[in-house]
Amino acid sequence: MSDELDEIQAIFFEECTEGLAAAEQGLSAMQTGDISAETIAGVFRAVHSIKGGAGAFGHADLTAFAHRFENVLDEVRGGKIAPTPGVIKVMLSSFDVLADHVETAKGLAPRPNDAAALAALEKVLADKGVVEDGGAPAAAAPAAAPAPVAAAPAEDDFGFMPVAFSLDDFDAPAGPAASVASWTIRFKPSRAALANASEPMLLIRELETLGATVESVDVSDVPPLRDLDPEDAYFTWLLSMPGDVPRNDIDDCFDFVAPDSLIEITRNEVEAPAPAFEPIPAPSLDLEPPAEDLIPFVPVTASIEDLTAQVQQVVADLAATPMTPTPAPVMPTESAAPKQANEASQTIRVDLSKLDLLLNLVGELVIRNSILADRLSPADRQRVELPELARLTRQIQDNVMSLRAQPIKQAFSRVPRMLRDLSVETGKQIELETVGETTEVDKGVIEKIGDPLTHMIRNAADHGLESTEERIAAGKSPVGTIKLSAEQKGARIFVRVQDNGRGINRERVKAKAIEKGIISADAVLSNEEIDQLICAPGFSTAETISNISGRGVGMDVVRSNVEALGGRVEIHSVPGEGTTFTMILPLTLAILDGMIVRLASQRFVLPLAHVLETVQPEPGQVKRTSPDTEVIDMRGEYVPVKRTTEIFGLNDDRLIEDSLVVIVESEHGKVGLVVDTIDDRREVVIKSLDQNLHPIRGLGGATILGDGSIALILDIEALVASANRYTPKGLAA
Amino acid sequence: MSKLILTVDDSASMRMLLKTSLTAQGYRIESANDGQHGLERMHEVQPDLLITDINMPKMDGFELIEAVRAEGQFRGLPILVLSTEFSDEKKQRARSAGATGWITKPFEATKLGAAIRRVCP
Repeated sequence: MSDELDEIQAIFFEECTEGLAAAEQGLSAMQTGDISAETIAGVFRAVHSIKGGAGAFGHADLTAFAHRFENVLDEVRGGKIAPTPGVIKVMLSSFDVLADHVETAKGLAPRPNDAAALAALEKVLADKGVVEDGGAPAAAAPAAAPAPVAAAPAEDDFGFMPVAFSLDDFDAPAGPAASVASWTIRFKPSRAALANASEPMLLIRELETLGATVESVDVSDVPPLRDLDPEDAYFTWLLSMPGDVPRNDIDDCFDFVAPDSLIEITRNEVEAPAPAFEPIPAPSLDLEPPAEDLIPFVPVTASIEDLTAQVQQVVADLAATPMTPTPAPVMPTESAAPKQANEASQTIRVDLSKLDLLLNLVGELVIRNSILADRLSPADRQRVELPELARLTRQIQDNVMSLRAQPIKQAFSRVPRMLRDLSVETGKQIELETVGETTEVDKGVIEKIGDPLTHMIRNAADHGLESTEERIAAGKSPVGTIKLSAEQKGARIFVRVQDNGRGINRERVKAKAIEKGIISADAVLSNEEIDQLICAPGFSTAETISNISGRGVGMDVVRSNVEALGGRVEIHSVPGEGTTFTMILPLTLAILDGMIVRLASQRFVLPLAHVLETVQPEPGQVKRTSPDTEVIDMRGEYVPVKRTTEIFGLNDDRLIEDSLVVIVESEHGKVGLVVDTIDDRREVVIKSLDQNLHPIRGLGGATILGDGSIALILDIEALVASANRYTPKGLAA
Repeated sequence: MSKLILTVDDSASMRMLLKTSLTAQGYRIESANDGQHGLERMHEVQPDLLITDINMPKMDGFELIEAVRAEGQFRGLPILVLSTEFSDEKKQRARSAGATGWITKPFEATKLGAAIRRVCP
């Protein structure tokens, strides 16, 4: 964090340099007679910005001086002080002192003596600009003036200096009376406050966190419906607040909606008028102890208890990490101390391994939920409130997942620097455009896309973009553009690297692929298939190995890295217009909503995100269009049919009319997958295969089903892609 | 999805400070570097909250807020203004421009978060 702040502070100092230059330029212009409002406003803005930033970084001396300087500039800007040559002279010498203060803030110089300049500025303010033209500002301020200024460094009129905690008046009523004293608050927001998007309920909630309770809401002002103005406010809230809450804190809540709203705060010293609230019993969560014969699977329940206990343990560990309390209704008492504790940081740092453990456990909890659902009859599921348990589990799971989510910006952040270097190396002019860098992705995904991303960018800069001369000759802008974007669609993240360069030279790619033996010489390939060859193992088209992307690592490594994450790489190229590489990545590496289907008596999981519909084919609905192509007629649309069994070499002699066809869709279009039966729909926890097995295209992983058996998860994207295009070496190769 | 905030400030360091502080509090941040740019970005970003500086070249913060409020689609949008001081006069100016609230610079992360939660659930 402090590194980050240092970095930002370095930028602030750069801005100071720019601001000082702008101020100097403006002041010089004023000296030569240009006293236009624009010039004066420019100087004011420069000094104002320096003050703002200095305050943020705790440079009190610089802030204080800039503030005094700004006061004078503000008066000049507002026409209250005329920019006479004498005044301009004071401002110029103040400028020099301001520049010295900036050097001091940078740690490059000792604190300048600014007493004379401050005195001169004060004098200009006091005299409303009547400064003898001849009098040097330094000389105009002999001993007397500097003293009070130096003695009281600005606390008085600085709205942004830390405000000393006030203990006056009502703040801390001492003695036993405090316990019964209370505040009564009446509040009716004004129409103007509502028009400015003030939300009364947020305000009420804030008051509640201070300890207030809503006693009643007066709705007597609500007019008949026909007279009701939907943009006006008619409710008046009546709240009571414990008497030990400082008045300032209450007033502060109303800061944004005062003064035109109705706000009445009165103090009741003796009697607490709070009505006696009937304590509302918390809804009981106890279940009727179920009869033994209805729930015979005690071990499963026990293991849920186990898991719950473990999750609780992890959560307790997290809570045990030194952190500050959440903003619960803690009542500030007589000193400021509890208040400060309440306002300290609301974030904690957590060891990532704890989050991973939590995610893992929640995954197991999801599985146990499925097992329970499997073993109980629908009536019993309701009886033990299993749907509620499932919903809670789901919420925990979403929350744990969001804990691991980070903006993808982290992966993007090194790209600008890299492109500047590449621009120098290649002599190409490159402009970077970034879109969607706030898209949130699982931290594990972010960590692993860095290298593929680097290679894709290098590839785009080196091979994708033409040289400046080539671009000009082609009638394009001499500056090439690389657009880096990220977006979330469903459960997938799309990361694109798009250049507006020459596009893929398909003739050359094909020739090279034949030469390398990747495809046979007589292979007939679509444009898309040729583009995909770039990612084939051992492929490199650069005629001369370049220093940049020809380092023995090709796009095939990008592809294998991305596939290891359960993602895919897609290439789209238009000759002369450019190439787009897309990494399609899973949002999370852990859980999937799936449809359980049977193929040749084995069970598989189809990711539900891809499933459009299911049909039982009528005789004649499936047509053979070529010896190895079948299509299904879906209300006039012909969708290719894939016998999933063939893909994995399973024996299947069922007639298509005895099977079901699940229509799935991916980026590549629709495909009908032939399955025997559909068993269920359920959430499954993805267990990676590649630690144990060689990656198999078409399979996305495995999972444990409710009955403890294992099912493989189908990778629909890969299946559809293979169904819709020729694959040189077959899918399962 | 976490709330999306558009911050408008002509100072890069202030934009970064806001971004660092707010990202750490779980918000998503987009930014613009002056009022005019801010107005353009409003349509593109469609934020849940607008935070703007007042003193900026081209179009100042008040003008930006007035322009934003003038568009029907942003009428219910919470807007906070940033400035180094807020006199009663300035608060009134902010209110009449259409601001929902204000934040005094320099800000502490917690104060900033509290001000945001006060206007944006």
